[in-house]
Amino acid sequence: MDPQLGWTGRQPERVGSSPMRFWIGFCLWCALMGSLAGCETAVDPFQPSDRYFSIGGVIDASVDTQFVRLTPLRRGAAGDTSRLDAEVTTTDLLTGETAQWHDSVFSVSPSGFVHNVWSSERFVAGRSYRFDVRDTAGRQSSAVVALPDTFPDLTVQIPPFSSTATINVLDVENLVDLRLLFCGREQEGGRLTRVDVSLIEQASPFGQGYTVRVEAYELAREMGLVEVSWIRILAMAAGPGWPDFANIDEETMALPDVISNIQNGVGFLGGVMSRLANWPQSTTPSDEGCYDLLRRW
Amino acid sequence: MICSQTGLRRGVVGLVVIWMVFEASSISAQPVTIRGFVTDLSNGQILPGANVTLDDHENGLTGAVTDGDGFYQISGIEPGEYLLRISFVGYEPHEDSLDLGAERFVTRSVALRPGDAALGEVVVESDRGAARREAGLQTIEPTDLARIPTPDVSGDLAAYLQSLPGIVSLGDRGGRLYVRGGTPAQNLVLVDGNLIYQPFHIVGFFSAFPQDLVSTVDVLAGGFGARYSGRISSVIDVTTRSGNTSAYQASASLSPFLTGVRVEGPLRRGRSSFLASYRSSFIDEVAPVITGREIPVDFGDVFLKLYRTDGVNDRCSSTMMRTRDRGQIDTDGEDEPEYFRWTNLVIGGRCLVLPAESRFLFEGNAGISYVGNEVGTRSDPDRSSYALQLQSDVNFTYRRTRSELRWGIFTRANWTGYELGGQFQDLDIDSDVLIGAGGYVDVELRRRRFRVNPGVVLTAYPFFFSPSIEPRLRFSWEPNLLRGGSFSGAAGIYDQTLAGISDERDAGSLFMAWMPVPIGGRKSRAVHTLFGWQQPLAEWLSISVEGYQKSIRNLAVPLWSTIARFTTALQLADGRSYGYDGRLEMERGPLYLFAGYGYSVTRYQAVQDNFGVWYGEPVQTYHPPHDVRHQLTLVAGYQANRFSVNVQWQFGSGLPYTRALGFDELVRMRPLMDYRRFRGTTRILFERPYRGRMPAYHRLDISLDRQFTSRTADVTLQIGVINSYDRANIFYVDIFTLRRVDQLPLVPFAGIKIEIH
Repeated sequence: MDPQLGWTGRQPERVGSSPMRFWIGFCLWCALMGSLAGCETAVDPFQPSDRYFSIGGVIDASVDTQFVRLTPLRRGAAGDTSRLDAEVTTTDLLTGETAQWHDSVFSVSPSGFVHNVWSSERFVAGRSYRFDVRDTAGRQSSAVVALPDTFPDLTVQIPPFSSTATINVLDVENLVDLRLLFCGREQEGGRLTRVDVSLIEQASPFGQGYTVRVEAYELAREMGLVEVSWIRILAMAAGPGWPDFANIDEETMALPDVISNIQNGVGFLGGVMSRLANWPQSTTPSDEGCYDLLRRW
Repeated sequence: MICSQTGLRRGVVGLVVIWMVFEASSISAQPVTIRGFVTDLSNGQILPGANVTLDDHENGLTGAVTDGDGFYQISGIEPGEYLLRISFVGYEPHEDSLDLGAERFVTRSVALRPGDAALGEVVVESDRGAARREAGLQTIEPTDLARIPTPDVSGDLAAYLQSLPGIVSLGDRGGRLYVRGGTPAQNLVLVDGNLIYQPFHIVGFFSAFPQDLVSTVDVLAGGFGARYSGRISSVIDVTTRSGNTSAYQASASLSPFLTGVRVEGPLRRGRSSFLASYRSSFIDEVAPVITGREIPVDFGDVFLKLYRTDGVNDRCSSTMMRTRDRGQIDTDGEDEPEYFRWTNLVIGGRCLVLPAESRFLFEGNAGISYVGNEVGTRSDPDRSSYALQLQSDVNFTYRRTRSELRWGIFTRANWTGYELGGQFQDLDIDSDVLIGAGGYVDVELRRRRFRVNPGVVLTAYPFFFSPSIEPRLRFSWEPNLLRGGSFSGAAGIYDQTLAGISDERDAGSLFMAWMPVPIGGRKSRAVHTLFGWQQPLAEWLSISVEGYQKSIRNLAVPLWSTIARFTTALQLADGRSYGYDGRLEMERGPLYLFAGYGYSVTRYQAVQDNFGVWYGEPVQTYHPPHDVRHQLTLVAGYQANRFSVNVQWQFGSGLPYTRALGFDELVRMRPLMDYRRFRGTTRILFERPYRGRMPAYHRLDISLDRQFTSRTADVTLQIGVINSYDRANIFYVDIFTLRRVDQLPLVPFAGIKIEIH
């Protein structure tokens, strides 16, 4: 084969002089590289779904102000302090009356911010309510919450010359929390603080209710409190449909559908009725600051 | 146990009987064996792949090719007069008239003189080149490494391996290679016969094996024979070269990523030598200047090899290699990035002995291998792990005309320890000792165009695991369909008792904890099958294609949880990888071209109660993060007038990752959390694992070298660019922050290397 000829035997075409060929080649090269560099490399790690809001907490028929945790499923682990794009209402399923809820940003521990919505509407024991959250795009999550019936005040018996008290919660079908709320000063530093100690795991069925025995002041000492100035007792009963949280581990509980009663969302919103009582030997706070700390559960 | 031992005994006896029967049919009267080593006269280096032929002037030729140790053997030779010819490209051929018959074993070790003579007219084919493969085996030579542009004036095994279809790296940092679906901890990497745990540096272009130190590398992407055990995916068997036994040499190189010095020379001229190398990175210093961003990594290695030979029958070496890697991958996050450290240390010795009156070639290895791993903040690592292995093995090779019997025994003592800071919920702090021993038998039978290689490995770890019996089979067949083409295949069972656990959920985590298999004492077990065809289309053009499947059981993988935390539990999964790759290689004159395409699928299947609750079915099938469906590599090189230009373009389809539905806080309900005061557990709601795919990856790297030579020194200047069109290739998505982390941007580089001889 003639080295001057191409494989086809034709004389190669002359594109131009060598410098021109170089610059044509260079421009083609740059165009190719530029087009490759500009290829789409965006990645969106979010999978759109029909779950819009995370809702957590309880509606308590016995308190005058309700708080519910509300979180639009967000794009980062850090909390968001911007205004909540959500309109929150509850509807009494018996009467059809609706109530508006309001947004609040709370500073919480560990350090961060969360949205809790609140309402001062009265919620009636034994009734059911629908909790609706809707954003401006029309996406909506909702839950139906059944509040339990009311139950009698709890009683505390402390025999003479004994430090062990017996707490009885009567006429309760599903006791979901029983705790002592302590207000006292920390052993180290002496700061006035609140400490909650749950007794729910020690509570045992008793007749139509529950009972538990406790040495409150010993417990306070174990919690590092000195100068206990007020002790209160909280009992909380749940309405129907309350999951058996005692037998669900944290990993399972964190799964989106395990405990959730939220439509188009995640989380759990429960209905409860609570009773808050004073410890017999500590009916009023000896330290004024404790009133604010233990005023409500 | 009794059944296992009986089975093994039957297996071994069976293999030996097959071999004896096979050989009995070919025994001739007083056959003679000629063997020896072939080396380079100028520096004492072994010459793998040299052609050795015997011509009796009547019946034609018989021949052999030197192996990775430069050893050849031709057996079953009828007594008589022969012409021995040994040749190799770039060397003057050696010819010698022999009168064979007086001795049964004749040793002829030959040193070839470098020269311009090309290979003679008779070629005993050797299997070199990227497209020359036999049942998963590819032999790599130092010149192959130089074809891949790297930001150093020297090729490197890490960069070369990543150019091969079937070998996947998650990004250009991290030092982790996945071979045909296997994980890094399932690769057996050997340096002069001794294990090295994590030889690939934190910057993915580099390993502890630069071109200057490598003699040959056997890469077995699967289906490896009975000689290798302890890992279930692949073997990368590196033989380093020995120092110059004739003259002193030194070199120094400088480039933005790496600087290094190497010295070598005779300790006793012609008999012993040393080779020492030291390399250290300083990319962390210059990266802000040349890339405009921080690359806060530091890595390097030290290598020392002492070598001794009697010139005829034996050669021994001792090797010391130490590597260090440390640095951060994700530097753009708000939190302090994790700081990784790992260190390898290998000290070993190896002897090849050819007893004067024996047909056996004896090889002995002994060594110690260590790896230490840490991660945490720069000043306070919160997780650490180490693994230490003492190993020794003796191997015998008995070669006959049409067969070869190889057998050996080995011992391994492993010490592992880890302190995981709660990363894995079922593992925290522990240390273990695992002592085991084993042996193997491997028979190679050759009949005209067919070669079959059955083998079996027995490994026993008393008190820990039941014995492993791992049958293996390799074969090749050269039918007359197409001239020079060969069909090959392999199959085998592979067990692994030592696991390297890493959090696969997080592709940016380089930490690996070594331990005996962590769940239920169940060893990981793989079954390999592969078949391939290779075809030389011309002397300068060859093509090959190979299909494979690996099934792996009992992989320890992280449990998926919706709670956004580093802590995870482990569970067992089964995996399956399959695919094929094709390669086309052309080398003609100054031009080199290579095209490789790989298609692969890797799928894990895990049973997890959480999945059942989460998605309605407890069995989940997913593609792990190293599942690359398509890979394409194009390499071109051209050498002229002391210039050489190398170009590589790589393409990889997107890697799997797990998408999120969103973050929230989980409000604890029992006892009811006061959610006005406390935040709750931050939770990330994941879509099913690894359902997302990242964008495709591609990159063009270019290097241009110019060499200047003088009587006393060679100087090589290099310029080049990595990621020449500055594509924003994604490295990974951080599953806890859902932020993307990119690979290196456009990195221009220049380097210089001075070699004094």
